[in-house]
Amino acid sequence: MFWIVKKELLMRLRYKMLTINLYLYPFFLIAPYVLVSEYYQMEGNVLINMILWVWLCQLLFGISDGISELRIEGTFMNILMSPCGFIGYLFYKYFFHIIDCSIITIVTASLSAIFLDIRVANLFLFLAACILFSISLFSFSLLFAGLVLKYKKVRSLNYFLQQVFGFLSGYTNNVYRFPTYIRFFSFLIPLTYSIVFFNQTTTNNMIFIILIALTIIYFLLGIAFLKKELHDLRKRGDVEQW
Amino acid sequence: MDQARLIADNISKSFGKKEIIHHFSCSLNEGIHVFTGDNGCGKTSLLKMMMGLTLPDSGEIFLFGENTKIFSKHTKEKINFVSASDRTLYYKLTATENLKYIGHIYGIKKKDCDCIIPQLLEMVGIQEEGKYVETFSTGMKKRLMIAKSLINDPEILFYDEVFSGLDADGCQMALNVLERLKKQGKLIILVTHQADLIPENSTIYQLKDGKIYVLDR
Repeated sequence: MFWIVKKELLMRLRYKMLTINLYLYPFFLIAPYVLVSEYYQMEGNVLINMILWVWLCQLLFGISDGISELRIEGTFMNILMSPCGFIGYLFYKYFFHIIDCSIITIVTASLSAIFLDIRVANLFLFLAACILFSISLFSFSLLFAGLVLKYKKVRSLNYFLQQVFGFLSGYTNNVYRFPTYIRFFSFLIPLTYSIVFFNQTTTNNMIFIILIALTIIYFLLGIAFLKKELHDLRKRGDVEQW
Repeated sequence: MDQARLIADNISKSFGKKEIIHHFSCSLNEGIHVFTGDNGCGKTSLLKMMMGLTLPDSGEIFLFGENTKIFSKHTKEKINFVSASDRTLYYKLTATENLKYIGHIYGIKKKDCDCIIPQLLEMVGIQEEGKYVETFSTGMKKRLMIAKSLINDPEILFYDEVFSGLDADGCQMALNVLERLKKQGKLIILVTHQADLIPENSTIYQLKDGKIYVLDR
């Protein structure tokens, strides 16, 4: 079954320009924010926060965009008809995105160290923590994948939603400075918890329990929503339309 | 009493106001069953319902006794298909890589894949040259899709316009494959509008205005 992961990696090798763009773009996106935050002596925090945000973007939109790509390619039918199944396929896509995001993390952190002289302390421990936190991001992405199945045009909101989630999760700003009503939405996003953890913005260990509960809720809701949307898709018969 | 592999029980399907399938029932177990009709009459829609990809508006379809609303992994392992469009192939993979990928998502072990794939490619007349599928002609893509449909040795095969794009040799190859599958006791559901290529001793159904008629050959 890891041929799904292998196939995606083969695609990365065969679309070289796209791959180079994917792995270099995050550093140049993040660098201006990191440089500005040096003035506030928060450059290390902002670098970590925005790398975590890139993980969210890759998982959330990689998986949902992946659905759209399958439909555009015409290979969605293969996945629906295979014993692997669509939800099983999403799990294997998640494993692939862990590899992708790990490469992005190493490239971005290395370029920051070389060109900005800003380092992530203990990169591999940070990477391991990112992988652990990605479980909650993946469960969040399952819900979004269901939305993309239901409303094809949600995919068009990708870039806007990336910025909204990043802003609300506090990637450049301490989330505890937001008004309460905004902070409520912030803590619905799993990314916020990982940022709070890495920035040590709070010593309240309850946030981990809340994050675990949220992960489980999003996972169950996401699977239920996906199954319902797959059923409706089969009922409508527009499997090959995108 | 053994249940038929495919049972359609009073199925109907509409798209918008147009009813394309009107209260159709059948019980199919083996052999070649060909559905013909004019363009837009609902042949492919019927095929997609029968293979479980889509659901009827009313009535039920059973594959190996299981309702297609459930469509479990165990049912999917025993069926395969060739779609009318070649977009179900992966263009940036070679023929062998396409078959390996499909084999693996069907749960075929690597060792078995390595054994089966060269045989399938030889059977459909494709020589692996390491070229991506995007460079293949329409006919070569269709041949690869036929190979792909056989990777898991399915009990039911759903073929949508399997002859389109094939040259004379390719059509003969496809007919030979169908004949071989029939002798193995498989059930083949074939959709085509090419009446001259319908295999002998097939059961032929004509779709017209939402109704399905069994024709004598």
